[in-house]
Amino acid sequence: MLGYYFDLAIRSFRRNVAMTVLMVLAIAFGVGASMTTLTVLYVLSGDPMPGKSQDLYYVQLDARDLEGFEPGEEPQDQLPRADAEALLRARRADRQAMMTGGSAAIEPERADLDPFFARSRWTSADFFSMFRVPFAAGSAWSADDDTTAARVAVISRELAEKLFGAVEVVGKTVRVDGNELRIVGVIDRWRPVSHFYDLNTGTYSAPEQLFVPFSTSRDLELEHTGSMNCWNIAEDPRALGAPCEWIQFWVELDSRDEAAAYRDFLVSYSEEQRAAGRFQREPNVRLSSLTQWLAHKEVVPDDVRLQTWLALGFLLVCLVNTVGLLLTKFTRRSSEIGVRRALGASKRTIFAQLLVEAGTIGLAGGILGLGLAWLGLWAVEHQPTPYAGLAKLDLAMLVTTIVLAIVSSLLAGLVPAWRGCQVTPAIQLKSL
Amino acid sequence: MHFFPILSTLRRHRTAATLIILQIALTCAIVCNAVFLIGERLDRIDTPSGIAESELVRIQLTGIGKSADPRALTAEDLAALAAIPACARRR
Repeated sequence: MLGYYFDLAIRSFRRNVAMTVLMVLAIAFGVGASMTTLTVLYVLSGDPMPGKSQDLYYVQLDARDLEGFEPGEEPQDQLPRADAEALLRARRADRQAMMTGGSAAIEPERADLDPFFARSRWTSADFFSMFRVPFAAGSAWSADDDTTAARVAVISRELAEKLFGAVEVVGKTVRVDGNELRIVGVIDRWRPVSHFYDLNTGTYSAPEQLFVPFSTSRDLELEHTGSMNCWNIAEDPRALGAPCEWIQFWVELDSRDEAAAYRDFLVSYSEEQRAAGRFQREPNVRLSSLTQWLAHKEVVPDDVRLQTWLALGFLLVCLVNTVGLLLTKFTRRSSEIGVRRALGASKRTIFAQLLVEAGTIGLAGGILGLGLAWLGLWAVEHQPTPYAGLAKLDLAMLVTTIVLAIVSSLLAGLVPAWRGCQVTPAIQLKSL
Repeated sequence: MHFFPILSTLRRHRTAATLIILQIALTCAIVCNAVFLIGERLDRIDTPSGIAESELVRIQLTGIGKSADPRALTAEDLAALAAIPACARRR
C-alpha cells in the first residue's frame, strides 16, 4: 500500500514540478541550516574522552588568605605549585597529573630551519596514560623522571616530522631554550574535541607539541603560559611556596567510592595545611568530573547556541511556508480525492496517502539539505574560529538530517492532509 | 484604496491568511533578532580606543637562552628602530 502511495506521490509531483521544487527547496534550506549549526553544537559539546570521562576528576582547593573572603565562595580554578606537588607525591588516586601550559624556543639541528617557539606543556608522567595519549614511537617518561627532573621530552608527531623528517626519533635530542632534552616518546595524531585539561590556553586548541616533566621545567626555568592568580605579593610567583595558583591537577578514580574517599582526603589535606598555618580558610574543596567541569566552565560558545536557535527558527519559517504550499496543492486535488472517496477509500487512507506525499517531499528535501549542510560545514571550516577543523558530519548526524527532514515535513503535512480528506465526494463528483 | 474587499477575501481564506501572517511574524522575529545581535557586535568593534591604532606597530623580540646584557641589547634595538625615518620616537 505504501509503495502505491509513493507511486501516486511521484505522479502528483510531476503534475506540478515548480510547486514541488519550491517545497523541496524550502525543506532543504531549513534542514541544511539547522544541521550545519546542530553539527557544530553537537561536536563542540561532545565528550573529549569517550568511555573514560566519568573516571577523570578536576581538583580545586582554596589556598587563599582571608582577604575578601565570602562564605560559600567557589575555590580558585587552579592550585598553587606547593599543593599540586604535595598531592602528586601523596599518590592517593589511581592516576594523577599536575600540569601547566608553557612555551619554549626550539633550535633545530637542521641548518635550513630557523629556531621557533613550540606550544608546550609541563606535566607529570601519568598525563599520558590518564588521557589515553596514543604513542607513535617510544612511551611516556616514568614517575622517577618526575622526581629526578630528568632531561627528557615527549614530542608530537608533527614536531618530530618538522625537526627530523621522521617519527622514529626516540633517543635523539631536542634543544629547548638552550638545553638538550632526550626524546623518550612521540605522540601519534591526538585531537580531543576540547582542550579540556587546561581551558586557559584556548578552549578548542589542539594539544601541545612539546611535553616536559614539570620538575625539569622548573629546573630549567622554562616559560609558563596560561592563567596565574596571586593573592599576595610574590618575589617569584613560580617558586614552590608562592601564594599563586597556576597549576591544573587531574586525578583518575575508577569508582564513586574512590571519588568520595579522595574528596575526604582533600578535606583532611586542607585541614592539615590550615593547622600548619599555610591555609587560612575553612577547607573548601571541589572534585568535579570531567563533564561537570566542562559544564561549569561553559565551554560551548554562546554564539554557537544562538546560531542553532536562529537556524531552528529559520527551519520553522520554511515549515510554515511548506504548510501553505501543501495546503494549496491538496485543495487543488479535491476532485481526484472525491473520486477516490467515491470508489470506497476511507478518510483514513486518504489522510495516509497525503502524508506519504508530504514525507516524500521531506525525504527529497533531506537529501538536498544534507548537501547544503555539508556546504555549510565547509564554510565553517574555513572560518577563523579555533574549532574550525572539528565540525564534521558523522553517521549519527547524517541519520539525524534525514529524520529531521521527514519528521518536519510530516508535521507540515498534518493540517493540509486533514483538510484534504474532509472533501465531500458528492459535491466534487457533481462538479466533474 | 478599498480595504474592505481585501479584508473580506482574507476572512474567507482564514487558514491561508493565518499562515502568511505567521510566516511574516516569524521571519520578522528572526531577522530583527539577528540584526540586533550583529549591531551590538559592530558597536563593540567600533568602540574608539583613543589610540592612534593605524600608526602603531607592536614588535616583540625574544632571544634563545639567557643573554649577557639584555638592557644594552634593548637600547641598541631601540636606537636601530628610531633611526628609521618614518618612526616617531616617543617615550
